[in-house]
Amino acid sequence: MNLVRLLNVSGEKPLRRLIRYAAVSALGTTVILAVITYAAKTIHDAQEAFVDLRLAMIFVASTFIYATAESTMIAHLAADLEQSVNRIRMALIHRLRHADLWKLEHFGRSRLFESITQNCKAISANSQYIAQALRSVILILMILVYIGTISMIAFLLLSGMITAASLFYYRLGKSLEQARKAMGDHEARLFDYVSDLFDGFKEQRLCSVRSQAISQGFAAQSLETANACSRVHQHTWQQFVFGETTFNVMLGVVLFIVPLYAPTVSSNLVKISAAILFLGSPIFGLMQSLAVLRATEAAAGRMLVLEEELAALEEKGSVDPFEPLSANFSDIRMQGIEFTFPAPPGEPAFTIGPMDVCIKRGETVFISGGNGAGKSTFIKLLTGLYHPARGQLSLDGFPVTPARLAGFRSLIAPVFSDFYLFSRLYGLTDDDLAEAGRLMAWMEMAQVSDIRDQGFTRTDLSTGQRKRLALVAALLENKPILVLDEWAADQDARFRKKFYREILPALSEKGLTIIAVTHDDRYFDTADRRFHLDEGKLTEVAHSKKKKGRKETGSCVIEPGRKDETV
Amino acid sequence: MKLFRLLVREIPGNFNATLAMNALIPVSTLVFVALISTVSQTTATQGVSPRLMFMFVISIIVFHITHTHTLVTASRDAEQLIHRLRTRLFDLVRQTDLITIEKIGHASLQGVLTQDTQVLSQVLPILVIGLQQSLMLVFLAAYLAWLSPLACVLSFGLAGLAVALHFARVKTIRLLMRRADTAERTVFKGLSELIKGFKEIRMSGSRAEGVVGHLAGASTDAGESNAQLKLKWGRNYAATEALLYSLAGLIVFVVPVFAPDFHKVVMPATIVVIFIAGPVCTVAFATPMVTQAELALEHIASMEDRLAAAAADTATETREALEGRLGSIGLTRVTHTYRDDQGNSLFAAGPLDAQFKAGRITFITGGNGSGKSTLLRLLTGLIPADSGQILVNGSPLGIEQLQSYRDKICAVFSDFHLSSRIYCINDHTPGRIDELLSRLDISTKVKVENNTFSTTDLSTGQRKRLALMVAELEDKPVMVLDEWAADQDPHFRRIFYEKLLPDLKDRGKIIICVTHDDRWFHMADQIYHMEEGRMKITGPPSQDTGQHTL
Repeated sequence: MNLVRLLNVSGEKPLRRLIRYAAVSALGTTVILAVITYAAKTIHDAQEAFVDLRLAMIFVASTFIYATAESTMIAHLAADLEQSVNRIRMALIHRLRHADLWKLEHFGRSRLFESITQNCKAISANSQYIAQALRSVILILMILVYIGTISMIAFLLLSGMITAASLFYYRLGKSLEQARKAMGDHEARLFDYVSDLFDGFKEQRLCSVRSQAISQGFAAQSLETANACSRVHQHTWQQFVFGETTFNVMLGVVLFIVPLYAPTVSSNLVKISAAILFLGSPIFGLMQSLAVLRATEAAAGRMLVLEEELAALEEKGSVDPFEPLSANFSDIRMQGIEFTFPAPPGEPAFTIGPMDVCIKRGETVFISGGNGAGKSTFIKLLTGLYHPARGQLSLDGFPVTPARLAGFRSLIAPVFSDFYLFSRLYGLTDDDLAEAGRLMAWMEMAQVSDIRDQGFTRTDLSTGQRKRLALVAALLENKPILVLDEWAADQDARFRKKFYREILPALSEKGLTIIAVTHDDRYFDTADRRFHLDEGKLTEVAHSKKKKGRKETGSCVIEPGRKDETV
Repeated sequence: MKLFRLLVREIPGNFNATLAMNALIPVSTLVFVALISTVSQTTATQGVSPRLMFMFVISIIVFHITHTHTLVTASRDAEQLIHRLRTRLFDLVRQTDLITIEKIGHASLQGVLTQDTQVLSQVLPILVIGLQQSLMLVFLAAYLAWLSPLACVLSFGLAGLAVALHFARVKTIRLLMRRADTAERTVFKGLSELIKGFKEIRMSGSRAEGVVGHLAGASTDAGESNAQLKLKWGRNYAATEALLYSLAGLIVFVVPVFAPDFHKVVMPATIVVIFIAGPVCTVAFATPMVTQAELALEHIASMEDRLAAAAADTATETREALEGRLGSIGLTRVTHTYRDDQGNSLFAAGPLDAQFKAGRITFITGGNGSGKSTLLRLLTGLIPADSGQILVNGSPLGIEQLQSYRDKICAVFSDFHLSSRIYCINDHTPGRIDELLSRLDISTKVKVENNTFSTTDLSTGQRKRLALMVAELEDKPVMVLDEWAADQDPHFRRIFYEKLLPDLKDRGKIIICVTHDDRWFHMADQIYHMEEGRMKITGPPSQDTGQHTL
């Protein structure tokens, strides 16, 4: 039972407490039943209307006990489950936080997101039914025992019938499940057509034949789906009515068969009839919650497995404390770095590198190259997000080991091409706030968004505008290295010019080291140096910088064969 | 009630028969309940009566048959209704223009087509049960009133009170539910930030701390509001149940005080009162579903109206066929302005002038947001021009010929969609499929059976090859490719520019490619460059250098 394992995550044994409340609730109901039937029968037998006060008090007390136990049971289980879910959720989030980018990308982000959110939701949404299912089982047993105290033969007959009906019901449930699966397949196929129409709307408009074929396919599939749904409903209702009929037959057996064999019971028939009517609520409740229970149990299982799966994604050294590195570095160096994308069968493997680069502090370096040349991979390797198959990333000659990785990264503020703009800014000081206002004005974003309460007031903007905010956020981090991946691609021509002619030079003036991937050949002269990537090969391109030679470059020479002299 | 008007309009004739069957259910139930109380009293004195037993069996059988029949029929009718609504909507969407569809938004359209119809499928049968059970309650009330008017008034009064209290509490529960939902959504948002912004988080320790800390707070919050919700839910449930139990208590402890002759009917009255708890709960559960069903039907109806209006506008586009060979297509003085809801201009393209000839390759270059996609949409007739005209063989294209014109164009857009089914098939398709698969270097990964790709779970580059294959199968005179090569590896990119494009050219097609690959600009017969919604000719480039000439 995964649910029990999940409950026990907290270390206590909440299950025992749950069973206690469930038993009290069930007992309360059984006493109510006994009191009512006893009272009715007494009135009937006495041939006069009277009220037994003592009995009435017992009735009120047991109703009260039932209600208290039932609501406490539901509340406690919900609280316990929520605590366990919270604990596991946070454990998963911590695992996630320390994951390796490459492994995470290949685990599948949407799968990850869905498994965490949907499983948590499934458990939270259904916690009350779990408690009630347990209570229903106990209640059914108690009512049967009550019937047993009146008539052993009725007890045996009814127990037998309930067992047989449950087995049959279970079998019906299996064919229902099959029908449901068939319905799911049909629905998926129907949604395929919907997606062919919506996602392929333009294609469909450009081809009447296609449009007609989609329409016919959809109509046929829609009819089949409707039939499959009807079959599911039919099975559901058959199962439902079977349950009701079983009840009616049980009543018939008690009323017409039992007296034949146990004449003494005849005077107590009303008690047993009432007891059977009382059985309805827990039995139907249990039947209805079975599917929910199965889904919740599966969700609990998936959550427990997910934690192990996420543990395998961890980046080496990420959870350990890291060595802080000095912001006054003199160079970053990539030596013989290679990265190979594992090739899917039938495809040529793609290796980028070996790449040798040395970037000095304060330099502005551009990386150019066509689509698929490996620019984004280069950026991920440079920032230590991908780990090279071969070669060495080093800072001032010291290799960036797993223990230094976090320190190394804390020197770099990036805006990736598939950047994510956080609406919150973390760790802003008052000085930063003044700077933030200046930056927003500089990026011409002051009219559009604002920084308040440690966050941007608006982020639902165009890509170009969001990139400007991302640049503001990156600059507010006050890190010595700025890494930009096709930052200007979404800017209009005027702002692009401002970016290359005004913003980048000013940032460089402030002493920032700038590494930018760019296509804008018109502005290549803004860089101190430019590298070109082609099919994974990196070569430095000789070019003349427009501005007066402000910096000396080239003093940092790569010697491809040289071993790292340190460590 | 709107719901019933809609149902009457949409549901076929046997609906009345189903309703009549519905009436049999409460009758058989009533007989059944009366029999239970009679038999449990008389058996002690008169023994088992075969006549009553026979009636009992009959009532069980009638109940079983009518109940199954009405429920199954109602579900089937509901599904047929959904089927009709769904296909009607689907065809309307198909006939609507791109701009309307984009304005309405995929999400809300798909919501109507999938979610709202699913709601109907789930809710309609529950409504049928609710209806049955409320009828049953009416019959039971009458029976109880006949037994003892006081018992009837008191017990139905208390049941009414229980339901009223339940609904009153449901309001607070709904409030808590919304709060729990909001808290959970905050967690999901934080989680999606953690996953989407993973790279940024890896680059900054303080951001990682901030995001995870925020998530921890949100997660605890969500847990607490869920627990709070369940606490209230449990209290409400237990209170309602306790009140329903008290119904029976009322009969045996309160009614006898005021009704001296009650001892004669105490048994059947008790049985009836225990019996009504189930139907009362069902009716209370089904009542809010009326609103749900109405809402879903309303969504569907209003979407239908909106689409029908738009589809009527495009009806003229199919009136006339475009005859003859396509020698050239082009645009003259075409403009288009995207506007927001207030009518403010978001992006203006044009005036655009261009000509594309058969057997010639045209490249279109330009930065992001320069208007390349708009140009393609205007040229392919997917969006209407505000002014100017599409030219076919040098003369303007009439609106009546628009669909016929579109049918002569095949395109692989940058936001292309690859359907796993191949829809456009003719007699010589099967032979070509294998040839194309191997020419596109993908025959080891994908097979085509029954005009369906064995898989579409491939890389973007590979899926684009399949999209190109589908375009080739359609074999139309105009081929539009939007950054087709961007996701191909260098090896296949070369094949594309040096083999596939020249081959299309040799077959006399009009070829229009949006591309950035300056290395292959020399393959083009003409090059247009787009900037800020305008286009100008920048090519053809000189054959020897193959360099970008800006």
